[in-house]
Amino acid sequence: MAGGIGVYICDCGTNIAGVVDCAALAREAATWPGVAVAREYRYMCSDPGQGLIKSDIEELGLDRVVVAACSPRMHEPTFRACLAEADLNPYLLEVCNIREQCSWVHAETGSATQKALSLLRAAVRKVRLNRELSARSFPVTRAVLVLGAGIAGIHAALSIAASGKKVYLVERGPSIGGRMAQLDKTFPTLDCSACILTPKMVDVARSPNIELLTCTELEELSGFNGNFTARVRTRSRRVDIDSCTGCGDCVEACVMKGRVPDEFDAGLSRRGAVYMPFPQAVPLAAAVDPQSCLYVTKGKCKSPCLEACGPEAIDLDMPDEVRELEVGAVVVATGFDVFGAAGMPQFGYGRYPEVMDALQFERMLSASGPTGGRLLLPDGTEPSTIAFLHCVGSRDENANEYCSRVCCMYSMKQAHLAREKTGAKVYEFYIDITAFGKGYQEFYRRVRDEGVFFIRGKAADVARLGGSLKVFAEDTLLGRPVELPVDMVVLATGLIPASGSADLARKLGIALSPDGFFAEAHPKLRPAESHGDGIFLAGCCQGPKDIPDTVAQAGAAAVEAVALLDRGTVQVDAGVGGIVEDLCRGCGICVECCPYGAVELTADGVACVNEALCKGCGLCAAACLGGAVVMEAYDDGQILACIEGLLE
Amino acid sequence: MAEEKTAITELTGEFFDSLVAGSEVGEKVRSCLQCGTCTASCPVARYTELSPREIVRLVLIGGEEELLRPEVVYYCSACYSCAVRCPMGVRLTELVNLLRDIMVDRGMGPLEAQVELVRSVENYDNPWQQPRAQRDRWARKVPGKVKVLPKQKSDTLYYPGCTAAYLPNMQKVALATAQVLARAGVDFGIMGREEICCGSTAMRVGMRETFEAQASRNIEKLSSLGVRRIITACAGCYGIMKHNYPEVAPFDVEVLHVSEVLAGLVSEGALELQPIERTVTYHDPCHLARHGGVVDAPRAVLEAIPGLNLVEMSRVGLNARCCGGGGGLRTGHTEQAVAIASERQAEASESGAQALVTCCPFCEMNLTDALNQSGGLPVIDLVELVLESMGETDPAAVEAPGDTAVDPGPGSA
Repeated sequence: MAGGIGVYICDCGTNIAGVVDCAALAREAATWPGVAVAREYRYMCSDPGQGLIKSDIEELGLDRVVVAACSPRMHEPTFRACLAEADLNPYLLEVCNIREQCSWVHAETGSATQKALSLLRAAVRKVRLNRELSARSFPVTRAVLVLGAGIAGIHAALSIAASGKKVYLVERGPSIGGRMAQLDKTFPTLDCSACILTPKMVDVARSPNIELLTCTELEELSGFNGNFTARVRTRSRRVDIDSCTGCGDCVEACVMKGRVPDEFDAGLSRRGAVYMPFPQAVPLAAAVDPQSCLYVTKGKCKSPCLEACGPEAIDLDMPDEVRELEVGAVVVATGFDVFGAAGMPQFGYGRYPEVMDALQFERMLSASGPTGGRLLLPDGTEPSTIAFLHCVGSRDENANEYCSRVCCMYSMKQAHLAREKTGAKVYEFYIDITAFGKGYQEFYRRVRDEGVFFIRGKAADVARLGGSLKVFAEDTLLGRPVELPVDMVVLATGLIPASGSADLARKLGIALSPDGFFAEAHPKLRPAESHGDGIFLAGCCQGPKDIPDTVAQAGAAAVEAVALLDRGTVQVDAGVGGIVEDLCRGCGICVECCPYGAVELTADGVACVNEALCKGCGLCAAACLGGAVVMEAYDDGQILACIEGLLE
Repeated sequence: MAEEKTAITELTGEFFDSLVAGSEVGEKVRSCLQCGTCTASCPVARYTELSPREIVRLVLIGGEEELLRPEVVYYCSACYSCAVRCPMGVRLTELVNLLRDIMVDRGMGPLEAQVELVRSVENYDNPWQQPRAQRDRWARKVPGKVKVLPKQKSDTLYYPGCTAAYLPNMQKVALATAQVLARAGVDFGIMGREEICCGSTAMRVGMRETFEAQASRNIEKLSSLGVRRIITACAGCYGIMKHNYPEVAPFDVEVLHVSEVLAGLVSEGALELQPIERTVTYHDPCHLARHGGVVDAPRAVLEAIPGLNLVEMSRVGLNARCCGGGGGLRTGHTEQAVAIASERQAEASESGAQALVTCCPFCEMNLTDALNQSGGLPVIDLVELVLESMGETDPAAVEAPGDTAVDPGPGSA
C-alpha cells in the first residue's frame, strides 16, 4: 500500500479549461510532497472521470483525494459517493472550487491559473489533515405537512394521501380552494374552473389520510429533515365545523350583514361578520370574521346569529387551538396575491369605478359572482367598449421586474368571455404576448380571429377627460398616439408573493429569491425543492405560473416528499461541530449565534451540539472565546493549513 | 409615388457606443422594450417628427445625422413624465439633455431664441437681459425691511430667482413670499443685487459649460453666506439646486421650495388663515413634483385654508400633465408650449374649480398665456393665496416698480 494523495483537475469542457491552464495545474501538483498522482480530465463528474479516481484508489492505494472542479455545492456528494464505492472514507475528499470562484469570474489565463494553483495548494494541505468521519442516520416520520390549500396544496395533499401517507393540510382561510375557486373559466380550454376544482376539494374532505385544518397557520417549525415538529395555531372560527350544516341562517341574521367587503368577490360585494366563504366551500361551514364581529370587537351585540343557528354551532367565545404536528416533510403551497393596482395611480384604480383589476373582472364574469355573471358598469348598464391593460405591476422597474406569466393569457380569455357576454368592442394594450403553453398560441389566434383589437403599446395612463374615460398609449406599430374613450378598463394585474411569505420563509428557514417568492434549490434540476432539506415547493409560492404548471409542480413536490418518507431514514452530514467540554465555560454565545437552533446549554452548564440540526456552518466555532468548539471537517489546524497553502 | 425607403443594411450601434454608453444616462437604454409608454406620456410627442420612443430606438441603432437635428432634440419640455413611467428605468429626459449637450459641443445648438437667454445669463446673471442693479427692486415694495445677507445675519435665505425677481407680472410671488414669511415670524434674508441665476436655463438647452460655471459660482456664493437653508420660489431653481448642484461641486445647504416651508408653518400653526370661500384646483409643476418629489406639501397648505375647496384634476401628482413651459420649449417653440398649456387648462376647467393654483412662475406664465389665448381658469400662485388668506390685499395690487421695463414675453426654464 503506497498511500498518498490523488489530485484531479476537471476541465469542465471549456468552463474551466477555457480560462485556467488545467494541464499546468496537474503538472505542478504532481511535484508536491505527498501527491501520488495528479491528472487532468475533461469531465471529472462523468462515469469515466469517476472511474479514474476509483481505479487510482485501488491500484495506487491512494488514501486522500482532491478534486479541483466546480462548487462543492454541485458535486461534493458525487465524489464522496465515488470514494465510498472504492472503500475510502468519503470525508478524506476535498473539493477545490476553480470554476465559480475562479474561471467564471476571471478572464486572464495567467493570473487565473495562479489563483487556481493557490486554491489547489490550500486544498492539498488541508486534505492531509482530514479525518475519517461517518454520517449519522435518523428515522423519518411518516407524515407530511402541506401549507396552503389552493390547487397546488390540494393536488399535493391528494397525491401524498394516495400513497398511504398521513397529510396535515393547513389553510390560512376558512375554506380550501384558493385562487382557482375565484376564477370563472380557465384558459385556453375554457373549462369552468369550479367544475374541475370542486371534485378535488370534495376528495380532500373525504380522504381518510388527510386531516384538514382551516383558519390555521404555522407558528414554528423545529426539528430537521425527516423529523420536523410543526406548531400550528387554529384561529377561532367561532363556528363548530362538525355541527354547522352550512344553511346560512346565521348569515342572514348577522347585524353586520352587507357591511364588510367580501374578499372572495375581490371587494365587489359585501358580507356580514358571520359568512359562508363561498357556495362550494370545503368545509361547508360558516365562519366569524373577528375583525368585524361586534361581539368580538366591542364586546356587545344582540348576537342574533346564535338564535338563528338551529344546530347551535356558533360559539362566539371559542378559543384558539394550538397543536404540535410531527411530520417528516413539508410542502409549501401558499400561493400568491394580486398586485395592488393602487400602487400605479396613473391607471386610475380606486379613482374611477369603471377601472378594476383582473380578479374583480373575473368575479364579475363568474355566475357565482356579485352580478350573477353579468358585466355591468356602476350605472347598471353593460359596457360597449372595454380596454385590457397588460403588464400592470409586471415587467416594470417601478413595481416588479419579472413577467407574471399568466396575464396575457387570462386577459385574452377575459376578452373572449366579455365579447361573448356583451358583444362589446374589446382592446388589448400589450407590449409582447406571452403565450408559451400548449394550445396557447392557438387561443391567441382564436381571439384575434374573433375580432379583439390588439394595440401594440403599453398603456401610459387612464384619465377622465372631456366627459369620458380615456386610455392613453402609443400604437407603436403605426407610431401614432392613441387616446381611446372606453366604458370599462381592466388592469391585467400581476402576481406577487403571498402576504407573509418573508415571515414564513424565516419560520421554515428557507430562502426567498430576489423577486420575493420562495427560492427553489436549483432552477432547472430541483424546481420543487427549497434550500431546506425536507421542505418542498409547489405552485405560485415559488413564482408565477399557470394551473397546469402549478399542478405539475405540486405532483413533483408530492413525489419528493413521498420518496423521502419511503426512504425511511435520513443521513446527516458528519461535518458538524463538537464541544470540548473542558474548555467550555458555558457563556452561551454559541447558542445565540447558531442560526439553526442546534446548540444548547446542558444542565451541567456546558454547550452541546444537536448533530441532527447542525449544518456545519462554523459560526459557533468562530464565536467561541475559549476555542471549545471543534468543527469535525474544518478544525483550526485544517484551516491554518489552507491559509498556509494560499500564502505559499 | 411615395419616396423609396432605404433598407437597414447594418446595425452598428456606433452612436450609442461612442457617445451614450459611457455616460451616466447610458445605463439601461439598451433595456428599452419599445413599449411606447414614453411617447404616450409625452405632452409634446404629437408635435414632433420623432417620438421619444423613436429617439431611443435611433440612439441605439441609428446614426448622428438622423438624431442630431434641432427638430429632434429641442421639443422636450423636460417634464420627466417619460422617465418616471418608463418600465425599464430609461432616463429619457436626461438622454435628450445629453443629445442637447452634444449638439452644443458640435456648434449645432441651441436654438437662436434660447442662445439669447443663455448669453444674457452669461452677461447679466439673468436670462431677461436686465441689469444686476435692479434685481432687488421687488424688495423695496415689501412693507418693512428685508434683511440683505451677508451684511445682515440670518440662517435662512429666500432665493426668488430671476423670474420672480425681475418680471413685473411675477414679482408678486416674491413680494407675497416676503410678507408671508415675515408675518409668520420666519427670520430670513435675501442676497439682493448679489443674487445670480441658478443656471437652469443653460443646463436645459444643453449649454453644460455655462451651466457648470454658473452653478460653481452660485455654490460658492451660497455656501459663503453661512445659511442653513435656502427657500426657492421657482420649481426649476429648486430641482437644479437640489439634484444637479451636488453633481457640480460639494453643496450641503438644505434646499426647500416655498411650498414645503409653508406646509411646515401650517403644521406648526404659525399662520393665521382666514376663510376663502372658493373652489380651486392645483397644478403640480413638473420640476417640483416629478423632479423634486414634492406633491403633498402644496396640498397640505391649500387644505389648511378654511373654506377653500380643493378639487383635483384627472392627472395629478407624479402623473400630472405638463404645462409645456419647461425645457426651453416656451422659448424655442412658443406656439406648441401654449397649446400644451391650453390642454392643461381644459383639464383644470373640467375639474369644476374657479381658479387654478400652482407654485412655479413658469407654469404660471404659460398657463396664463393659454388662458388669454383659448380660455380656462385664472391662475394664482400658492403664496398669493396664502397671503390673501392672511387678510392681506393682493400683492399684485401693489404697484409694480414703474421704472423696470421688462418684456414679460416668452421665457425659458
